[in-house]
Amino acid sequence: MAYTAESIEQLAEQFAQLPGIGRKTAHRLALFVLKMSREEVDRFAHALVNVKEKVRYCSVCSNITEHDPCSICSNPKRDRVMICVVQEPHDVIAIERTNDFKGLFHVLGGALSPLDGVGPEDLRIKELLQRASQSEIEEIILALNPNVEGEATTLYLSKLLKPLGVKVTRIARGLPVGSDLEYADQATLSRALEGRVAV
Amino acid sequence: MKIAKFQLENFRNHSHTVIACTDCANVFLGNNGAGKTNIVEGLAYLCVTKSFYAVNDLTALKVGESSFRISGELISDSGNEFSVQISYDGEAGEKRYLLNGKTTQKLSSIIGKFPIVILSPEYSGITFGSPTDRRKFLDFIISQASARYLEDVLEYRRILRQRNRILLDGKSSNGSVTHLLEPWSEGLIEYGSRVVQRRAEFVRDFEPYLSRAYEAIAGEFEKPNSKYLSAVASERLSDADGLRMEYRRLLEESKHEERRVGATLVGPHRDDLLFTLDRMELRRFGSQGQHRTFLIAMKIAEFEFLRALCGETPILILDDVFSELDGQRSGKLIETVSSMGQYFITTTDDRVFPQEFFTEAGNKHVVVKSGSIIREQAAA
Ligand SMILES: Nc1ncnc2c1ncn2[C@@H]1O[C@H](COP(=O)(O)OP(=O)(O)OP(=O)(O)O)[C@@H](O)[C@H]1O
Ligand SMILES: [Mg+2]
Ligand SMILES: [Zn+2]
Repeated sequence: MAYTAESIEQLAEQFAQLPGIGRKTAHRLALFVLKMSREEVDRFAHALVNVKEKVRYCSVCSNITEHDPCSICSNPKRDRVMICVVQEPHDVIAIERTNDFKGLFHVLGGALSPLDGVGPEDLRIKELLQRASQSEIEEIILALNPNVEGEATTLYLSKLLKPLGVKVTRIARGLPVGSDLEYADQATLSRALEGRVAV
Repeated sequence: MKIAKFQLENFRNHSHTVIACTDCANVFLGNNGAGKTNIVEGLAYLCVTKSFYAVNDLTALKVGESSFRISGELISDSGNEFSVQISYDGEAGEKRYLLNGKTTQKLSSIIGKFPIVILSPEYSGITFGSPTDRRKFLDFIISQASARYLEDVLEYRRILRQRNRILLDGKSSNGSVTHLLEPWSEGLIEYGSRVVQRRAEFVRDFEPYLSRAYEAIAGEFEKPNSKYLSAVASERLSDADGLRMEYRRLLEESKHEERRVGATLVGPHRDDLLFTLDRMELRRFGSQGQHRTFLIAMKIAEFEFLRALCGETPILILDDVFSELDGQRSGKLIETVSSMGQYFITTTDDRVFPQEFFTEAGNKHVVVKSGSIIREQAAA
């Protein structure tokens, strides 16, 4: 379109890639950037690049971190006999907020979903099995999302984990169906952790 | 449930149409293509978030417009008021449902809140058509009566699609997919059993409603019957554990065949409903008139069933029902529905109604032309 600047179009296109941002909103955001001061725009751009440069995945639990291993994996006060398996980094935050769990985490990076092309090899399952075979590990808690993909992944993992001789539990199904762990309130999540059952 | 008023904006051929409803008959009169069905289709959107015949939301969007909106005021039998609004943004492909001003996302917290029964030629597939038509009928009515069922069905469909994808992908490779299928099979059995059991229960509970309604419409001619057909043996249908065991066995039995075909072959998505009249299968032996009568009876039974189960009088929609009925049956239908509360009816010819009809309190006459209301008249 001749009556808009090409750089605005390009920026809008970038915004439109973000989840939950439609074409109209992307345009509004791009025009907003135009009105920001040079310093503000610099800070914004710097923050974007920083995230990419400084943040990496913890080599132990795959959570996002700036220091490897992450602050949870390297904390001597954590209980090293328990690993809580979650889908995404934001699930770690949700469980940490409850203050009820003192063990370690393992972030799978998703759940099985053939429709989205996600199979076992796309998740950090090999790494989990390795950690679970270490002698100090006593319990693996599966805390995946209470939807059909989370359920299937829970079953898949428990089948692989059980032969390793660790206790395998899953969080109780008190969570509303179809919800994400991320959005469960703290009380519900605490109760679910407390009431975990063997699988 | 009653609808006090509603309005359509950029919906089908309606730019802006406002309808104040009466408590009994709301009759929409107009020529072919005037926009009568569009009005009652809007009501379906309002009550259950979707159309009963549009292939998708985009086709319901007025040509040349970017979004449609339908809003309405509803009043429950006990006098509670609800304001409902559903909008669709064609560009973003997004639908939004507002209940008393609050965004509601969960389908299961909307469906069944405003029960609705629709009688339309669109539904002739229930008796004439394929098993898919009959499964849709089952799922729609049970979902309105039970939010839990709707959740189970949605989960089941999701698992089925995931599982079928593995089978389909596996067709082109020779490797074993057993370990990949296994975790999905468990969910399939769990949710599938619940769906099958609930459907069979429904068919059993529905039976007396159907008999009563058929007799009211057709007199004491033939005896209607319906039966749920499932690969899972019928004597197991009421025993949850037995059902799951049987399901597991059938799934195991079909494992080579499903790999060959590339799709899951047993479960509620393959089941059917069999209708008979005096033990003769309706689909194969029924006359045109018997089909029509059966469908009308089913819908009246659906109305009574939902009223009993939801504890709320459903909203009744009769779209284009007279074109297929003779004068006597049309009269009988009007007489029957007149005692059922508020209803919405479309017709090209108001001569099917008795002469004094539009002077009776609670009845309203709305003339539709080219997506607008050109005249309306309610009895005092
Ligand atoms: N998305 C749309 N945008 C604009 N007009 C539409 C759209 N979809 C359908 N229409 C128009 O709506 C009209 C059909 O309306 P409707 O189905 O309500 O007719 P009707 O009054 O029920 O007629 P009949 O008596 O034949 O059943 C047609 O003229 C069609 O062109
Ligand atoms: Mg019509
Ligand atoms: Zn770590």
